[in-house]
Amino acid sequence: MEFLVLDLTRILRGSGIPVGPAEVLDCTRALRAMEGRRLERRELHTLLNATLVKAEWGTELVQRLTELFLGPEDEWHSERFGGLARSATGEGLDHGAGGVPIERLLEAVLSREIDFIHGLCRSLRLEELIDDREAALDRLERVSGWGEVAARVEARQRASGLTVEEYASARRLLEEWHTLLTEEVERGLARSMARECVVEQLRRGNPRQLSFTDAQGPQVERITRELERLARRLATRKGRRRRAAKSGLIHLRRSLHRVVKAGGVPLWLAHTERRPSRPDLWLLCDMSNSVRQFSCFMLLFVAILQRRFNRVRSFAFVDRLQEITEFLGEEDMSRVRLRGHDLTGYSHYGEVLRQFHVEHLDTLTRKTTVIILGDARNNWNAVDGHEVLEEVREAAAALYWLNPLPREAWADRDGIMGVYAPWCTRVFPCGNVAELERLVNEVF
Amino acid sequence: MDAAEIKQGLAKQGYIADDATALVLQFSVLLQKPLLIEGPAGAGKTGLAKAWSQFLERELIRLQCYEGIDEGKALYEWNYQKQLLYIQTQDPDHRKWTSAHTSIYGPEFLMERPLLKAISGHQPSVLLIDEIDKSDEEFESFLLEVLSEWQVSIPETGTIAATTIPSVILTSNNTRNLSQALRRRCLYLYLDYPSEARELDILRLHFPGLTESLGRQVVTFVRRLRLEKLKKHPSISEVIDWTRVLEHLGAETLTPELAQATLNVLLKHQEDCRRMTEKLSQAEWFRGIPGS
Repeated sequence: MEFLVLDLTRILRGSGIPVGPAEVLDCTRALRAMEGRRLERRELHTLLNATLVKAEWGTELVQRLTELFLGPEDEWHSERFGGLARSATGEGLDHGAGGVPIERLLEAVLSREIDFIHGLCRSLRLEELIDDREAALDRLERVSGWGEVAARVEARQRASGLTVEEYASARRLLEEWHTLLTEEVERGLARSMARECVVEQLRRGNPRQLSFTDAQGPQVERITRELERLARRLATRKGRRRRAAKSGLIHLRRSLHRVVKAGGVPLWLAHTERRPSRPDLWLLCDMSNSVRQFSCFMLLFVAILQRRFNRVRSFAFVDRLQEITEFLGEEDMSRVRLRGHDLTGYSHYGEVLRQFHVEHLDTLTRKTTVIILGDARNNWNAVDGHEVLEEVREAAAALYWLNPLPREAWADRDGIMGVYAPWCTRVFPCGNVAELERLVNEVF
Repeated sequence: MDAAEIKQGLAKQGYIADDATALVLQFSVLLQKPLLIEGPAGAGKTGLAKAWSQFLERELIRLQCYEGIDEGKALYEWNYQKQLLYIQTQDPDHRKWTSAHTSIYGPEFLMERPLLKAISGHQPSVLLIDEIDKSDEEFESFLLEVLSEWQVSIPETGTIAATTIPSVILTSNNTRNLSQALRRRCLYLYLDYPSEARELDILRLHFPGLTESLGRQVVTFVRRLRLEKLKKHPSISEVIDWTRVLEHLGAETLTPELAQATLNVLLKHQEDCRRMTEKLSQAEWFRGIPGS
């Protein structure tokens, strides 16, 4: 048991969750205490989240992890699906598509027999096909008959043999089936490829480590909440400028009051309170498709800040710059439709930077921090506008560039981050919440 | 103490806990560790602490956190006025430095605040540190010594070790991330809004006469409400209030009109009320609530 816990700990650490030795100790002590009786899976998840992960989404993450480790819950499968699979497929499936009863599967899809498909997925053997995720999934789609059945459903739809509802329900079931296959591949990968793969998968379950651009569905919600929390913390934090002084400057009037209290001896000094710093921020967000989701998250982050500070201005651009400060109060950013910042659909940094320089340089002050959000992919445009960045930096307090791509990918293809970087005060990779938090702590 | 026992005991105190809660409480007793509970406002975090103290038959000591709370409010303070009075009443001949020093920093002049009170009592207590996320980051680090070593260092006199170890519950509404150092010293529990079945149990406990159908409708309606995007979602206590209103009105089934008329018991923001009134007027939204 101890080895298992240590193993889990290492994987959790790898996926960006800090786990201290004392917590490992807690976990093993709790497990020892429970040794007298059989621990249910659900209880194990609660225990691991309470002692190791400690997060709102922790139970889910741990569940994923234990499933990768130990396979899905046994009784659940053996009871419901084991028998079904055998009865449906005879002696289990062979590797060729010949062994799959396509007709029977099609029927199952149309009559929504998800149990039958579950059973089938469980009975697939995939020991030897684990190498690369896409290839494995591709192969599994073929072997399990998914591709064939999907094609037949489409064919029937075209031949108008299905009503709209039937078709929709069949599509839904096919999607579920596909999810099952994906899970199967991931489990297989975990079994055969060991650590890095598990770590990678867990990283995807950790909203602080998940890349902004990869987030989907419920993960978007979670990242949003993490961002809200970070923004709120930033808004209440005391400024960095006087951090060295423990409690601010000496407050003369209040100190004198206390002198009176102490009979003329200045025994106690009163200090001024440190107020949270009020950043004066300007944001330039690239809203082109490649980084749109990242920019939406950033705008959300800024919108929360903006509720507390009124000196935040934001601009959106693709190939033209447009101020969007007034729209940021809207609750659902993705619903805000803007016009005038997007003529061609391809981001053109050179044009945008020059426009910013012409229209807004005069209103920049030494207190303004300018932040550019974008991947610096200029779509091979000859004009890159780097020459105006220096002036912007000189006119403002600082000029930061946040790039959602990892540092290694900055120069790929049409990326010209290298051209811009020397003219900025600093550049940061900012692909997930953890990276954002790090730079927020350094900058503000 | 078994998780099942804890669950039963809490139910006797009027708190319906789920399995995870009971289990984590069991661990916190076992490991003598503070328990950090996070979750949305009104999911029963503070209520759990109250029921827990009643179940253990211990005194509940509550420390409500707020922005700017400091050790003077949380831990201890010297009773300055009393010290002054004491010095003035002393005979001038006996005014020696050493005696004055030892006597004015005695326990008599120490004002105990919740944290010190919790660890220095003769009977073990339950210490509730409520809404820790409202306090400043500095305050968190200041809690560390108490929570892990069960002792308090007072510069003038030295270290006071705990005579009894309290059962500590910290609650947080999750508005900001707590420091890793604090998390490391606590066990963690995420307390979400109750599931429909558990909420129905809670309602049954408060309203023994509640009809099955109305109870189900209330619970499903509230569940849907919590899925909507609102400024503030209805808490458990608000649901109880609402059910009381419905019972008082003699309602037998929940209709859109009735829900509309009593919505302001559940929702406390003008905007939320308006939005939901609009939605309720469309029949779509109400469909699927059993029995309507």
